Amino acid sequence: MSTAPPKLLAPLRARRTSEDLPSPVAPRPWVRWWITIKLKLVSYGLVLPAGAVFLVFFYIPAAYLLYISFFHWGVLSSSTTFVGLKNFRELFAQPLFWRSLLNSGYYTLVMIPATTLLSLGIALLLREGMSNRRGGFWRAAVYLPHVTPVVATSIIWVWIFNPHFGLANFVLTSLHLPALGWLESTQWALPAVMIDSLWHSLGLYVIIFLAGLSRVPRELLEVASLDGASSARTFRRIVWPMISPTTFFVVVLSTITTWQAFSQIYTMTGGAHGGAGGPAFATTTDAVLVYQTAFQYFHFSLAAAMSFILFLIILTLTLVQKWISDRVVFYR
Amino acid sequence: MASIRLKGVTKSYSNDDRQVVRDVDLDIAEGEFVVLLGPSGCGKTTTLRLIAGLEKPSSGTIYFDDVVVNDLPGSQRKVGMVFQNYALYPHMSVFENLAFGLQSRGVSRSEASQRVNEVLALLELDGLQSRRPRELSGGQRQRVALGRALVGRPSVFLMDEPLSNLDANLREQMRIELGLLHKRLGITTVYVTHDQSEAMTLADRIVIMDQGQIRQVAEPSVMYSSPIDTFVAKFVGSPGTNLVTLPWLLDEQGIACGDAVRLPIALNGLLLQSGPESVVVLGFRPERLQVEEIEDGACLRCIVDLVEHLGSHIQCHLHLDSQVSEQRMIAKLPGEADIRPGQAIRLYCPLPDVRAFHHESGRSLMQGGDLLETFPSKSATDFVQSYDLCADAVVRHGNERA
Repeated sequence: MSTAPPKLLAPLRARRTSEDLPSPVAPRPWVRWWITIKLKLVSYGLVLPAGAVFLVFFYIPAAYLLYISFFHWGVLSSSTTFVGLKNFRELFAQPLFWRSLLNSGYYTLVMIPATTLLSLGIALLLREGMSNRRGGFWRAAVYLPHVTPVVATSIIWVWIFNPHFGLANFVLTSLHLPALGWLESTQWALPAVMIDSLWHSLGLYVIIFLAGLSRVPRELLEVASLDGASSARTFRRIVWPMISPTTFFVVVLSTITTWQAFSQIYTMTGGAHGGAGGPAFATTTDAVLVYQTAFQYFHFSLAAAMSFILFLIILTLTLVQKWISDRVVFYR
Repeated sequence: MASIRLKGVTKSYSNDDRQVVRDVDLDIAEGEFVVLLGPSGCGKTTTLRLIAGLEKPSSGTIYFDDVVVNDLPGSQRKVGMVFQNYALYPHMSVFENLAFGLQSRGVSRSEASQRVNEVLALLELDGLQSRRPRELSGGQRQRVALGRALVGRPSVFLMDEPLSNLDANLREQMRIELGLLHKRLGITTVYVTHDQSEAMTLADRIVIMDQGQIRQVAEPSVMYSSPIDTFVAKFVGSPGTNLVTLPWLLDEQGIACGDAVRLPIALNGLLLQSGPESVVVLGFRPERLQVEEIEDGACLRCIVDLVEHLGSHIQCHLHLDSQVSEQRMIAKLPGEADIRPGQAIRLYCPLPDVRAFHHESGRSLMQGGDLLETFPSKSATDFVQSYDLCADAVVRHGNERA
């Protein structure tokens, strides 16, 4: 609205300045300087515990990893020699590395939309029951898989996917669908892992989406209904734009976790028997290959180089998503 | 424009036995400005939401122009609603906010944009089309919300405390604008508020609600002068009517209420209706109490507790100087009155301004509200018969005292 002409306010402003009113305690320069320093010390001190944890367990290992990747690194021997980019060159010449990238890409490409859409769908179903006890039951039921240990439940999923007496094929055959080889087939092994991963991770994203949906004010939906908007139109034009920050968060988070997916793949494809990533490298994702290179073939510097590339891929993806989100996501 | 009729409308929620709205009957004429007024939790907002079609009544019928609309969704009732917090779509521009409803209803793009621009011009919002709500001031947001309700050309305009988020100055300004807008467009309006000044200034009729029920429906001036019961008397006015519950009896000089209030004999017939216990609730408006002695009026003996100077007048907090009851009261007196805390004073109230209520039901004892209407003559001789009638009560009262 209109602002008062500055002339009227000028005397008021003038009176406020500290020059006119002699302050009873005029701080000397060095006192001021000391106060500033003290405030800074306190602030950094408060951040220090969390910062230290990050530094010791995250930044230092990450930097060390990059350092290792430029060396030929022996675990036991002291024959550590600088080899420059040799590890990276070796890596790019290896067909299995490209295969693992392909597997990871396939896995991520399916998992991200599946995770986002399924969890949003379930959240929409559960939204109605946000305030009652029955809704609480279903929320708990959906979230429960996420708190179970990945390895233990993955072993159960191995049984479910057993081609001969597993539950998955039983369901398929009772629906008159062809039974599948699941973990024993090169075509279906990765999808089987995806189902397990979805089952395990969905709960978390459902809760995140529920939180996002609860931030859409009820009045907005009521106004839309009075405006005569159908529920599809209300979702598309009002709910979807308003939860876009949540959607963006879910997409980024699921991208990162799927690129890093390891435990369920390792467990389900026979890691316990030394054969993870099978059959015929169908489930050898980046993370699995890194593990095998490092801890089965003890080629640490090569694994370090691989990890670094994995890091670059995730970083790039996140930056791309950020770039997209700045143009699409609406922040209030 | 449409008229609205509520018949026996009751609303309760499934997870709760409490009836939020109880057996509400209300007729709203075409083009009328009706204000639902009441304390928070009295069911006024729920009533509005029932009219809007955002809630379904548990029982009862709602008519728009004699058509039952119980099962009609809000979008088909042609209502425009303004919410307390505006509920603007935050991610849409002002223009899109207004056009959204029209586009949902299948109005063509060119017509929609024309209508939106008309409304924006009407509300002096042109130039702000492409702004987002958060880039607007409170008053502008308020007007956009109004515009969004108007652009669909509603036959009923519903407003749920639309001004309560604005600061005091802006609220007054918007209140005037709302009044003018209603004069200009003549749309039937139902307006919910807990602010009396809004109700008094805007309403053709005020509906006072309490605990889900309608207490009184009346024009603002009638609501002020003739409250139907103690609740309305206490609620309307700021501060509300002083209510004092006292036993009363006739003596030689008139009527004695307890040992601190005296009433002229003329009120005898009225008080007789208060029932056999001879206890009555008297109502005195703070602004009708005075320190100048008057012959034909009520007289109250009080002790001053606190004096607040408000410039134009002083507000005295006092209590009755009585053994029977020390009921607290407020009096608005002229600014020059010399009154200090601890002082014992006499306050007078002109006879036409005295209100009396039944002490159990709280209902007003005045039919039609006006004392002079009920008792056209103020002369004491007209009450000789009534004096005889109440002899029993007086004797019994006297015996009890003795």
